[in-house]
Amino acid sequence: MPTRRTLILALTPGLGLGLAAAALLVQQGCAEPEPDLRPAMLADLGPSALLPPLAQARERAAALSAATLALCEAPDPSTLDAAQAAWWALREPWRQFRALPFGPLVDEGFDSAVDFWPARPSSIEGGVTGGSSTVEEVGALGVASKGLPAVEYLLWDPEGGDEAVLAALTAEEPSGAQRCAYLHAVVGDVGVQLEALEAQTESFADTLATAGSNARYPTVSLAVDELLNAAIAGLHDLSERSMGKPLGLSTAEPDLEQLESRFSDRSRADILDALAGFSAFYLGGADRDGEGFTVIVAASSAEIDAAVRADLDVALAAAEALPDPLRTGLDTDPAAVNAAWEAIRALRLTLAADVAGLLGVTVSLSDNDGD
Amino acid sequence: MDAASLVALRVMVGVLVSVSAGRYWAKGWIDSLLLAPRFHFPYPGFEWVPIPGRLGCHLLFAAVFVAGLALASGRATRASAAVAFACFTWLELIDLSYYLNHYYFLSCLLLTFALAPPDADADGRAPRTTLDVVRVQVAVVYVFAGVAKIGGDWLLAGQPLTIWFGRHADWVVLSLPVGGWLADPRVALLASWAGMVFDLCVVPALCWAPTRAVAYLALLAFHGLTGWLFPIGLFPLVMIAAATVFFEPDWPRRWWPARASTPDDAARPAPPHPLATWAHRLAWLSLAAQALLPLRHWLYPGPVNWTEEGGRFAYRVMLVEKGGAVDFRVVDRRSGARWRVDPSEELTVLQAKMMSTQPDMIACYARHLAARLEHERPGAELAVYADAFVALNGRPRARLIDPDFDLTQTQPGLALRPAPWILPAPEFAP
Repeated sequence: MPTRRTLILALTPGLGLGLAAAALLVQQGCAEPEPDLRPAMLADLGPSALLPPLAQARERAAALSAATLALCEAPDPSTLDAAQAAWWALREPWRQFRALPFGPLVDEGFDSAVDFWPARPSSIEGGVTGGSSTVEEVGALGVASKGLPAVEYLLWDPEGGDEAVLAALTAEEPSGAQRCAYLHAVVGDVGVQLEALEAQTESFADTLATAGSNARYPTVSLAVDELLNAAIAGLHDLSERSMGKPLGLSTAEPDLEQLESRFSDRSRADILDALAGFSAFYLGGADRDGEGFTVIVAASSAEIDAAVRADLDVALAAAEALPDPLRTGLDTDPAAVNAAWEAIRALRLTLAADVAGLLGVTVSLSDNDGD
Repeated sequence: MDAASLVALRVMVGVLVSVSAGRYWAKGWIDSLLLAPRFHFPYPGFEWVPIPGRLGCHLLFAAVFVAGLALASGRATRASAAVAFACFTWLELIDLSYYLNHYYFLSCLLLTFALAPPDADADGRAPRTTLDVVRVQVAVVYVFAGVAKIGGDWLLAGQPLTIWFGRHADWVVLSLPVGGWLADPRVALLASWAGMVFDLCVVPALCWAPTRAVAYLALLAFHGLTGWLFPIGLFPLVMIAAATVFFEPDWPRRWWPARASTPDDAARPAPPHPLATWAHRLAWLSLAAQALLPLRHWLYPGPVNWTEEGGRFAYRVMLVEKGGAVDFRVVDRRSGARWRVDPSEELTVLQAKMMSTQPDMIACYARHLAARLEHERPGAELAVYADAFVALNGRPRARLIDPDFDLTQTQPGLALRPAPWILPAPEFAP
């Protein structure tokens, strides 16, 4: 039989830890725990970073619809310019919003319905010759035939210029009127998609705000994980889809047909807008007055938060320095193109390694059991 | 010796094996983890393991499920355990990305069951050595898990528990702000020390009758808490079941006294079966190997949590939180062409994440990439370099792989020598 002394000796480490735990819990019970900053950040994401650009995009889609209607009624250089300007303006909030590919944007396929990539001229021309002229008819078409890239394709001609666009819109055979009707219907479909997306995103913003107590996000951590993974995916899209592949930076050969907004030469502006969208997510809205993701990173490590901000500043500056048009950037200023690409990759790396490690973010969707 | 505790353990493990197989199927992991990937990471030294197709995978899981039930019911125990071991291990060996310490433990336990079946003879007895090997099998997990926790990150910085506890900061239990307390780094530090003491002391405390009840209560609390806090699947249940093997051999009869009486060992000692003798020797040999494997990381320089050399099959559970990112630079030595490859184009999200922090997986993918691209580009002679960065336990990221080392020069199979292309760990504290 063990003696009392050996029993006490054996239990001492456990008792010691137990007492220490009890003391700490008593102390903790008296002290107010540190506030959890994540719910406020998630609640603010919708009002500060998601809904404002979407509302703006919907308004600008209506303006684009009016502009294309005017273009079809009187195709001339001024109405074409107005339609092009309206498309250009709509692209800005859309690209900002798409910087965070998650929620209904991805779940319901709005990203493809509004912004199928890469633009496929044969599918768009197929839509034109198919004779679709109403929003309902266009709604039934495949995503490659419609969306913002289709509108861009119909409004710009990089080789023939505006004269060629107007000639196509006023031609007798094939029918320019049919082409213009298709253009207007596609714009209408974009408006319908944005309206539906806005409604669903409003609901999704509520889901984010109540993360931890709803079925989609039974814990706050799941929402934070998905948000960070989305930001990383958005930056990945930006570095690879917008730059790496089309410009041949990450492949052996450039493939300019994969360049976003290649017909209008808005590629550089797209990159700047996407970074602005990321900035709104991280810093708390366009005016930086919200509870951005920065608050939870800074609470865990001021050093890593500073690294993200520094990388973001470098990426924004490098994107500003990109040559315009981007499609000829590798010829005109390869150093600037490479610098911007590397800067965006560095920002993504900081999020994927430092921030994900700091917050213990797990892989989304198919995560397996842990240790 | 009374076989009751072994039989109880066999029933519990058999049921859990079947539940595990059913759970894998129900969660759709057969498709998403085994069938969907276009590439699988082989285990070093097990590159020869065939990758089953859809039918094969489903048949293997069905075999594990049925064998688990057979094991639980005591039908052909040795054969059931052997089938469960072979099929479960085969499935485990398909892809290194899914390596888990508790899968490894389950394989080892099933192997031990196959070699030393936890069965009762007609008189309800089993050889004493059967109980001993099973006890050692279970003890290995706790001992090495405890030893692995003796380190600066765990004991001085409270990492990675500080990170993981912080993820639960919103939890409220019975109107108490439990999450807020968990998010306090001092709680994580205390839990780290408690976890180490628990792992190191629980086996002797379970073996010693005066402390057994307290130790098992602590074990229930420990595994209950870890199961509640972390996504570790059935592991807590497996260990809660396995630890009962340290109870008195007749403990189940105290709960079901009407079923049978304790056999009288002195009256009729069980004669050793000839098969049992060599099988038990093999079981001890297997345990010796399992006890040596966790020590092999001393053969490699640098902290194992960073290099991962010798980190698997060592029960180094829950010691690291890593964020990582890697992409590959490909150079055609003939044409001089250079480009980058984003591994996420071929790998699943989970595979890419697991690879990004593990050097041998990065090297494996680099070799695969070179082979695939050389096949697609006849005549090309490719070198592959990795830009890999890892943030360990809350530290800022550091480069993991020498960016100037051509990873196609690495060799598949077991790495018996330290990899010179793994860069030293960052020296700063988390």
